[in-house]
Amino acid sequence: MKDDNQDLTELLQNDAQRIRESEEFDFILHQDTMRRIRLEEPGENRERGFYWSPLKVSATAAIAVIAAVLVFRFDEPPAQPETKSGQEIAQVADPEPSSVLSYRNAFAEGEDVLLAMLDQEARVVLPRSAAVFESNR
Amino acid sequence: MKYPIKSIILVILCCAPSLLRAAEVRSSRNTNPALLYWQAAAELPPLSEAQARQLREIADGKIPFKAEIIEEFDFEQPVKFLRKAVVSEAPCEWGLAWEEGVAMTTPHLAKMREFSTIVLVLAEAKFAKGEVAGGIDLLLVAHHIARDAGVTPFLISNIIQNVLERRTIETAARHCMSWDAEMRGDYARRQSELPGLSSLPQAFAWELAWIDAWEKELLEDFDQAREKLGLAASSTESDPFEDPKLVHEMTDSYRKVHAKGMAALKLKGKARRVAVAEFEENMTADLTANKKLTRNILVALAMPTLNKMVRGEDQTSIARAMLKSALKHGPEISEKGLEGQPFKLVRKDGGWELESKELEFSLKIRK
Repeated sequence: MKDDNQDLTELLQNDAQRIRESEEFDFILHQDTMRRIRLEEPGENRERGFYWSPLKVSATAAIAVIAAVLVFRFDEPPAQPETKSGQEIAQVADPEPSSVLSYRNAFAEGEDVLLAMLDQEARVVLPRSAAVFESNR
Repeated sequence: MKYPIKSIILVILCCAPSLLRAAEVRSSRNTNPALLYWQAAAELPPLSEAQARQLREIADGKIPFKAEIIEEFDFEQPVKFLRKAVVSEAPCEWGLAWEEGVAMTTPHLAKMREFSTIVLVLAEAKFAKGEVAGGIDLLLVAHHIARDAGVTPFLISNIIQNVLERRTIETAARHCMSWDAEMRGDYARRQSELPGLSSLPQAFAWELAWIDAWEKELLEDFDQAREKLGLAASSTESDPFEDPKLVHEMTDSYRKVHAKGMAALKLKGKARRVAVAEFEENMTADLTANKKLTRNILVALAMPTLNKMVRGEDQTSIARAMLKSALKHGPEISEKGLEGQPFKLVRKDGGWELESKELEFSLKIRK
């Protein structure tokens, strides 16, 4: 004679089998299974504590994935609202390399900073390998 | 004559290389030097960061020259183009996109500093081999490079021009005491024949061109104009720039401050330094006290620090005067001979220097 636990185990195994066969998580199947578990579960077993089952593992995993997606999404910096020009103006972006503005900003920090920038750009911005010099060779 | 045609052909063949060379020289004398500088850039051997730093340190006089440092590089081709550039009689036109305003790119400045470094290192090589005339020729190439870097008068090019000129003078000063009087005289004469350096007031005047361009852009497309300056606005308040009147007030405010700065820059010597320092103090005080930042935003963001630029130009000016004295007196230079000059002879670190009486500047003339 099968006891209540055996009935429940078989039911869960069947459901688990169906879940494995479906490629995607089936919310209706999940709800249906949960409802049947609640119906089949004897009153005294309701308080006997948590135990893992394939269904619970699947459901927990699905919830974890959804939660993770939500958490990571909200961890991203919020999109900056488009600002209109106003009274608080701040310098935000680095100007183009080799531009008058970039050199002026560097000079404001000191002549050495400007010269270091020029030395770096002499090698990086227009090396001999630059395409612009190809026609010379 | 028995073989007239054959003789003529023979003469032409013999003279062909000289004729071709003469034609080439004539052609390069009419070429925009900027193009020749870019051709020199195309011929520069690739340098690693460490190699480039080592060359700069030699040119700056920070480390002694060693022949093995340049042995691995072939600078013949780039120097050939540099020599052509400096003898060209055509104006040096860099073809800058002025309509870009302060976003205008000026990559030639970085390359001109690199050329100056290489030429000064090659001059050191000549002096090390005892080839003084060859070294002096290269010093004059470096003087020309400084002038062509500053030929377009805007503030950054003026700064670079002065930096390159001072470094060339410092290189000459380190060696000139070992030259004979004739060599020193020849160098002094050729130096005096060089084109003049661009002046700071001339460069500062060009600042208004940026403002004119920016004002036009602000009225046409504020966001794009703001982006060019690398500025972003953050305010939930109403947009003050929607009022064209305010844009005019903003640029007018800049022009008024610019006019005061120009008046200070046109003074000479110590009076100029005092006036410029006062101008900057007043400007800072006005900006701090004035709550209407929007109206003064251009002054706050775009007005350059003239104080440092004046110091740079004054240092170049006194460096030239010091070198002139050093070339004139040679190894017999003495305190007595420098009477009335704004600099004095001082002994430092076992060598001799000419030290400015007013500025923070000294020129090493003997080890």
